[in-house]
Amino acid sequence: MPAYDDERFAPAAPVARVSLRHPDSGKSIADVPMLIDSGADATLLPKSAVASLGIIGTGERYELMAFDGTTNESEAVHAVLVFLNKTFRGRFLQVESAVGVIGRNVLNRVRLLLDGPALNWGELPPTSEDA
Amino acid sequence: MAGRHKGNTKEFRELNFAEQAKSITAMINNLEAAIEHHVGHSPRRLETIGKCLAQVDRLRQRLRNSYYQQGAQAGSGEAVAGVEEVPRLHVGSPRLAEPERAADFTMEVAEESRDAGLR
Repeated sequence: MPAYDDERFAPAAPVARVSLRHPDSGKSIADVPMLIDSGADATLLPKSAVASLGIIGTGERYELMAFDGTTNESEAVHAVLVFLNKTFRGRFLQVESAVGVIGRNVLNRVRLLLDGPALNWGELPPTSEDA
Repeated sequence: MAGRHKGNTKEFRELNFAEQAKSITAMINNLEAAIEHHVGHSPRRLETIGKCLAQVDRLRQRLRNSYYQQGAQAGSGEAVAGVEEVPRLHVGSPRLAEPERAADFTMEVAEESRDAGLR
């Protein structure tokens, strides 16, 4: 099971290394770190990763509010995220950070175990209801 | 300050104001070139970029805090000229300010044939 990231986060946090793909060209980039953040409404990709794939923004802007009420605007992009052997194709926002954020629009489609005491995380096996 | 300046003849503190400004510009240019070289030789480019940017951000934050504290101690209550407020770079648990737009982020999900996710 992947270990929590204790270099960038204190306390250590669950960070997934995902692949990102240009939705049209298929160009991809691997090992993009993304914080598993069940408090996030949407999924945010690192701007540097988006730029390296040559993905252009859609022009749609969304206002994001942090826990303390401060707001930021972010332009949406269309991309494909590969996480836990699934592809998530759709609209993403961008963040000025090397670490992106996987929000509930993705997390609510997978079953995860966050093992805090062991400082690792992993995917739970599918249930009969998933079939 | 470590290092010598002005053709290796003076310490930084011995430079006049204009010379110090030039020296700081040169040091910043050197830092930029060093980071670009370091990133260019990194086996994990994105991670290195992130770490270097975080170091620069922390430097900015330290300077900004220092000058705001000095402004507060002086009782001016005003922002120091040239020290602008910048957006936070790390947005934890971002919420949509317009929750009704959450449906825009509905994902089309498919099984990936090869193991590319769990790392």
